Amino acid sequence: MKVLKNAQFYRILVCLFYLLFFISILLTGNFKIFVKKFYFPYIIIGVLILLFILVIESKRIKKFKETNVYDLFSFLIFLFPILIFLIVKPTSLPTYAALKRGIKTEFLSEDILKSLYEKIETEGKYKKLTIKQILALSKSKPEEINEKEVAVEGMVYKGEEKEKFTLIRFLITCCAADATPLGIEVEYKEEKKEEEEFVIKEKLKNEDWIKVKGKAKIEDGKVKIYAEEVEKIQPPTDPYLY
Amino acid sequence: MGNRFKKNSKEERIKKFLISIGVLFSFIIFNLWYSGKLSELNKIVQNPKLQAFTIVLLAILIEGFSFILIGSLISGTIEVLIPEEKFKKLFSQNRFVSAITGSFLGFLFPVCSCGEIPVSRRLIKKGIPTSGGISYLLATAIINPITLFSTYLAFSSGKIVFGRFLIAFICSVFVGILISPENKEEILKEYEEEIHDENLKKIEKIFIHSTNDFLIMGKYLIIGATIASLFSTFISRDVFISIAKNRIFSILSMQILSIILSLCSYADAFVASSFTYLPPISKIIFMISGPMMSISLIIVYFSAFKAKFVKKLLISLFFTILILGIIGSFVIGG
Repeated sequence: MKVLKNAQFYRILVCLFYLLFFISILLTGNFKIFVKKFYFPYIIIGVLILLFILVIESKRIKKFKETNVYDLFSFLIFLFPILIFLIVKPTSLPTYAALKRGIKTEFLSEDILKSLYEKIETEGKYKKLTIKQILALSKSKPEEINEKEVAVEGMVYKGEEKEKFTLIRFLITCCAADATPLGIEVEYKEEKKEEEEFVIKEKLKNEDWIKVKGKAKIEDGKVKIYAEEVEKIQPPTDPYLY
Repeated sequence: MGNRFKKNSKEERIKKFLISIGVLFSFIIFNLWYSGKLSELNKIVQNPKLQAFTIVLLAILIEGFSFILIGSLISGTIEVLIPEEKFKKLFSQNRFVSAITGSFLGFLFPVCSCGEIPVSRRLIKKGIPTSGGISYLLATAIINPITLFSTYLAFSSGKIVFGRFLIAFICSVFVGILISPENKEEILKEYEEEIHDENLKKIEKIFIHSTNDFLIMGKYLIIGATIASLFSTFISRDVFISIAKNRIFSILSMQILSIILSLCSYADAFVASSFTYLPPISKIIFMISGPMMSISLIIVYFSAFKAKFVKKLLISLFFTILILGIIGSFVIGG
């Protein structure tokens, strides 16, 4: 196979693989696992440049240059991220990453405060809030969250204590590398523990996506939810908060 | 003759390395298959550590590749469309003036996440004084409208934005002047980028230059991003925050954390603002050091510039940032 001995062939292959990779994450929406929507136009520009590069480089396939071991080595390096993407099939940052980064249970920035201007819906007596909104309210307008009924979604992280777990969402600014884990402590009442849906310790695993409905209370400056209902939900299409 | 021998022995080493990897990989697969545990692979790939590593690696690469491609296109366009003489007339040849101009070029070519490397290499190659090319390389990810605005959003403080801008400016101009040689050949790594086919159209030449830049720097970015993702996956950030006990340690630990995390300069301010208990100067140093010398950038520097220069750049940069941080802590407190 003469083509396999042509270094130009590997140049074309690298560009083709990355073009297909970028197109696939754009079409499936999987790019949201890695980067914020803000990067969408940059990825599109990258795709267009790769497309031009591919067309022009393909026209030069007849320019034969003997492949050496460096070309093969470079090709394998480029292949590594694509292979790991196909094998691991990543879904969203796990709670393990939250522990390594340190879960923020009190966090306030101008950016977080902006979330208070988003429209807040209700579900029965519960206000549907994100973890980001709850943390912002607990610092800026505690009276609007303390002793109020809330419904909030997130990932489960179970620690050592039996009757508590932490509900986690990652807050993304640009990409998963900068994701900051936001968390709220959830506690369920003693007397209800025997009801089947409240035997959370046995039923829920780390990484499970759940919706918690209950009363929010501010204790020692930190917000805590006393759960009344916990239900498993499908992971949202957008796993992160922005 | 000596060089040829050296090259051949290096080739042999790479060959042996590739064969060893292949053998090891085949052995693992065979072993799993033989013991009937091939289906366990599914469990391995679901491992949270592997998931976290893969997501951070691909996040850095998706961001980095987009910017390297844009940077490579700008670089190819400069190479093909602007003649060297014209380019030299556009920029002052005085190394002091050039270092100052270079640090503001981020407003003209606002690329980040490695995109500035092909552009700065091309600027130096085309005849901008080396001091200007270096200060552009260091400053552009910080001194540009998007980064400064996102810093304001994260901190809601004009003082922090000004502090970040000022330290980035002083640092890039100072290091640019300090380590810039007269001769650009002492900086630029030579790689095959001459296009011998004269019949090519200009647009084709631009994209062929872009491909060269992308393939050379992209490879190094993958290596850098892999190291950064390993650090991000296995090292706890709290370790760095817990050692930030006094003025110098707090600056030093944030400097090292920013190097290993390799965050995008558009986003690092939000991460810095979450380090609630640290003094402002340590947060500013975190936002200076990362965009100038994060681990993924360092590896890509080696693709574009000579190793001797990169080592000099990194040492002078590290100590300049540290000293500016200490001076800053006395000026603004912390």
